[in-house]
Amino acid sequence: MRELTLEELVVIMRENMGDEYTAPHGTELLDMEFTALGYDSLALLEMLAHVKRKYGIAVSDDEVEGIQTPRVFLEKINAAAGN
Amino acid sequence: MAEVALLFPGQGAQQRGMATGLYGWAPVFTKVIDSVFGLMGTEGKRIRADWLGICSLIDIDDVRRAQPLLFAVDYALARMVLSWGVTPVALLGHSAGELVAATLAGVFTLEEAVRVLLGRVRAAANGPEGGMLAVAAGADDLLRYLTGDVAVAAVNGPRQTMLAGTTEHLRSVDERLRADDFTVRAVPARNPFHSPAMGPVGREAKRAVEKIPLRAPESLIYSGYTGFPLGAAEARDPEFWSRQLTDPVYFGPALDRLLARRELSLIEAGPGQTLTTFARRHRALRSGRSESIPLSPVHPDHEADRQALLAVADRFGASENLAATPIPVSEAAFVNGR
Repeated sequence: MRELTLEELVVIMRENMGDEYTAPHGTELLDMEFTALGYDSLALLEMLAHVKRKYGIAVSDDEVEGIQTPRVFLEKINAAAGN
Repeated sequence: MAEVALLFPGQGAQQRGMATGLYGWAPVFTKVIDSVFGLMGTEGKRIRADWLGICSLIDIDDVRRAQPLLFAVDYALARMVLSWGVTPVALLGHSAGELVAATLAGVFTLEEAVRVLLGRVRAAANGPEGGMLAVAAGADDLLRYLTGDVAVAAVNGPRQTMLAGTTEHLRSVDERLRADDFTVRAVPARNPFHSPAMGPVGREAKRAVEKIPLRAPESLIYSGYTGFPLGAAEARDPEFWSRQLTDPVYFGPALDRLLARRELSLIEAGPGQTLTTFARRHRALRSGRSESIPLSPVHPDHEADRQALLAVADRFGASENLAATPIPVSEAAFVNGR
């Protein structure tokens, strides 16, 4: 299965925020904390549900506490996609 | 630096061991929180011992620990910020956090606020069992799912809503929401706060408020219960305070109005970063016009508690207020107090 890209994650993050949110681009965004960007665990759960619906990749809700940055989000998704 | 407004988290924000890294380390915080525990009498000693992990009599999510400890931590953190010479232009508390705002604004003295708080806790401890859910949806989208005694408990943002109800009713709503693909998260609470099921608890809690000479606020408070600045008549009405157990919290609308007026540095005075994260979803923060600064880490930990505080204190040129060496804390005092 192909990997979820940072660009695709940014689209998901914008949809979650509900408007034209301009996230910092590229590698800068990768290591920013989700809490600093306004994404709490409820928002992360919703984004995981979105990924599951759209890409068919499922990450357990229990993993949410460990997802602190977009980099980790992508790692978890892509690890799950590889299985 | 922009003008400062203080945010106070309430029910649901409690965490085991929250801010304990500051106890015996940050002098003003320590002194103030001890005075709050002191006003809580014999129970205050047990609350402190549970908080510090010296014993584990009652779990943190129980109303008998969650509410007194949230009040104590929020209030002590706020007093510490004030001791840095910061003069907030406005105060906004979520749920039980509004009692902290009202105390700082002089509606209650600290001693009176503790009486109101303990009155609420006593009433709620005998109240209905239930819980709260956070749902990633607008309040309007959830109305058709509300059955039994389940009600909208808090509007935290356009797509962040909390529901509350008694156990069985809430479970049924939870199941239907999940079946329809809503994202739902349980909030740590054992009572259905901010729902009509708490009606008898509110009436019971009112008795403690009625005995207090309520005063008009001396500082600007944005009320989470109206979404507007708190007026003198509301502040003096015992009903207004007792209804806080049953009425929904409109934190999102209150935050909107607070941020519409001016550029602000919001400081979240309490455990975790719940309100900061809500605020960071707001346009005023995403555009960089305003900001929100948490005093606590996302997850409590002694070193993280101190680093989070040092980072903020430094910005206000206040690091000298923090003790270089720990203040000795006598554990014997807690043990003997039991």
